[in-house]
Amino acid sequence: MRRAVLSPLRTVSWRTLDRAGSWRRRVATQAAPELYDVVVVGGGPAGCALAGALGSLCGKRIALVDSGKLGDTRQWEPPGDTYLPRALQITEGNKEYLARLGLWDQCYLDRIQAYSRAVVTDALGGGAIDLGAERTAAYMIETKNMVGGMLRAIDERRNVSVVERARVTGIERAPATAAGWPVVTLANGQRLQARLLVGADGASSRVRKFAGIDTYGSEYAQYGLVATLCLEELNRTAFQRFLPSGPVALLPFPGGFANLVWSLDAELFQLLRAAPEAVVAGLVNAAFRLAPAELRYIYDLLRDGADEATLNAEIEWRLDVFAKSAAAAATAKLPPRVAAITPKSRTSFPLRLRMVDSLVADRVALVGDAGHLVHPLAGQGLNMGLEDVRCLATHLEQAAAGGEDLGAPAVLERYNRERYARTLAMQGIIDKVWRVFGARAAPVTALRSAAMDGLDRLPALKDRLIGAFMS
Amino acid sequence: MYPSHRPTTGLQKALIAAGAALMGFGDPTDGSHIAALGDATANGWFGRMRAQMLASASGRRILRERPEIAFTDASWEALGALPAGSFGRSYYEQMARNGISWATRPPVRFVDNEEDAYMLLRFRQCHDFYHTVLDLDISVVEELAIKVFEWQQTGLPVGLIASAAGPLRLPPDERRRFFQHYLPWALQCGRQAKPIIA
Repeated sequence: MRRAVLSPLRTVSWRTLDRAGSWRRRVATQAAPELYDVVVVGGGPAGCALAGALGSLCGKRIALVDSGKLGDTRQWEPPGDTYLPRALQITEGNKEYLARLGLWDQCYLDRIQAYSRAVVTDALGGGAIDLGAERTAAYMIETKNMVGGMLRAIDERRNVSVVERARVTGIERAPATAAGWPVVTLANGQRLQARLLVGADGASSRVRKFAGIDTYGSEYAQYGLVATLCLEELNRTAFQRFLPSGPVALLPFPGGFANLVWSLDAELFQLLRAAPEAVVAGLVNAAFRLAPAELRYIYDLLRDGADEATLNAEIEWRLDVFAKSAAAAATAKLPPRVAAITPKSRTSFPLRLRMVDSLVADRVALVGDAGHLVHPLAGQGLNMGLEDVRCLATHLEQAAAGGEDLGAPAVLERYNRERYARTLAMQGIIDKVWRVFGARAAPVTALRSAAMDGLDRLPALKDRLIGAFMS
Repeated sequence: MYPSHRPTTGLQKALIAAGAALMGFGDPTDGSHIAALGDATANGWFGRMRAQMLASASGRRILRERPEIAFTDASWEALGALPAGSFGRSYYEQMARNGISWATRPPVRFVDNEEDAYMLLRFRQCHDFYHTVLDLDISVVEELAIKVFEWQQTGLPVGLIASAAGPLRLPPDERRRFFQHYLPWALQCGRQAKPIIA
């Protein structure tokens, strides 16, 4: 389809300060904006999934815009001896959806770990719950792997244009011909005009700001420390332990590797980020086995700047004492020991709870982190985003089939109605779980551990829980 | 788990504790009843002691090396030769004055964790040190004060049980003295003092 030029070239002039220090008038011509039915801003997993899903709308023009080098991701060669620390947990339901659309098969499938069992324990109360399903419940996949696979699949869809290395410099409502349609201006001068503008651009979404959608929420004053670990044996189970400072999770990768996500208060996070790599493996082993009082004195040693040998000796001593105690016999509830951490694989992200007033505005819709941020303790962040994509894509397909304007308020309101309440509910649940497990008072810890142990003995309820979170 | 360990179920521990409490109430001067009571009730209450010991370098060294208090005749007599007012000399003199030997602590039997068992043994062996540091002799009311102090310091339930039931056996004037002087003093000192066992 050729570009339709609907209005004559406009002349724009402005003054700039040149190197000599004097003002000079510069004149340029601004091209008419290119018209699209949907412009998706943000080439992360949610944005790519949406672009891929909308690629099936024949006759509609879709644009996917990202400021990064998507070509690098598309042609990414995976490292042979490690896994990237930035990884995602994808539920079975979401994976089925992506596979149906053909967005899953182009990923490197041998680097994806399917797993069906998760063990969640509580350090302060001693409660433990073993969630196991018969079929696969979730998948661990590196972010780059997922986005790369989706981009390769999108290449084959002729109506999706991928605009990469394009930073959004401005969004405005065009007063001219198509009244009220948002126009996105990119750093390279391109201008895209959209019937519907979708913000998939993450926590600090520009699209959301343009739409005037207010956000509210809280900072958890915590960071997630992420790294790749090498385990001493193969592992296909996800482990999570709730410590007083926050949960530590070990998620499985193929080949005896694992992904670490450790939620830490700001001060502890700085400590662990700076700790020598030889000590981090021991710290992770300790985090899953030792009592909080023991961990506290190890953190104190770290704070005082003890050297590697001392730290490792102390950790080994406490792990030895643990190994002789009764709790060590419950090996099924303990993750395999960590042998080492992949060099230079420590990275991080801030933990926040962010909610929006609405997922839609005039010709704007939000999907993914732009619309909601949650604590990673339940692995739901991107999964909620993918459910947003499923819902929006379905409604847009129905609208297109019925000949409706894709950006019309009626269409968007259906999406908002379906997703908004559900998103808020999930955010509420995750936040409550965080608060319950963050409490240190003895009655709370005793109660929650008793609840965990009780739930552990009710397989029917556990299956319902898995179903609710994983489908 | 350790040489003197005898595995017991929860019910057995409860029965032992009840029996020991009754016998100890009947004859508070016989230390083995209180020791058995402490043994049977201590499981699961070691968190605070462990945190205290791990928090100081000397406590960690004690936990790692696991010293036990033992004297030969020669080293025992050597205590008597230490300078007057020193801890060792006071300890020696107090033991001699009260006519007790340092070797009267029964082994730990019913604690189901190796490190916890050592901590309880250390706690028992340090009991005489409590006498010396707090300058209390072995009358019933003074022993009760020490039990309250121990409970404030360690959180072990035997201290609470003993100090709740013990005063009932005292004659009225001693009981009054206990509640007016010893109890508040022991509560305050136990809370404020650094852990002696560490």
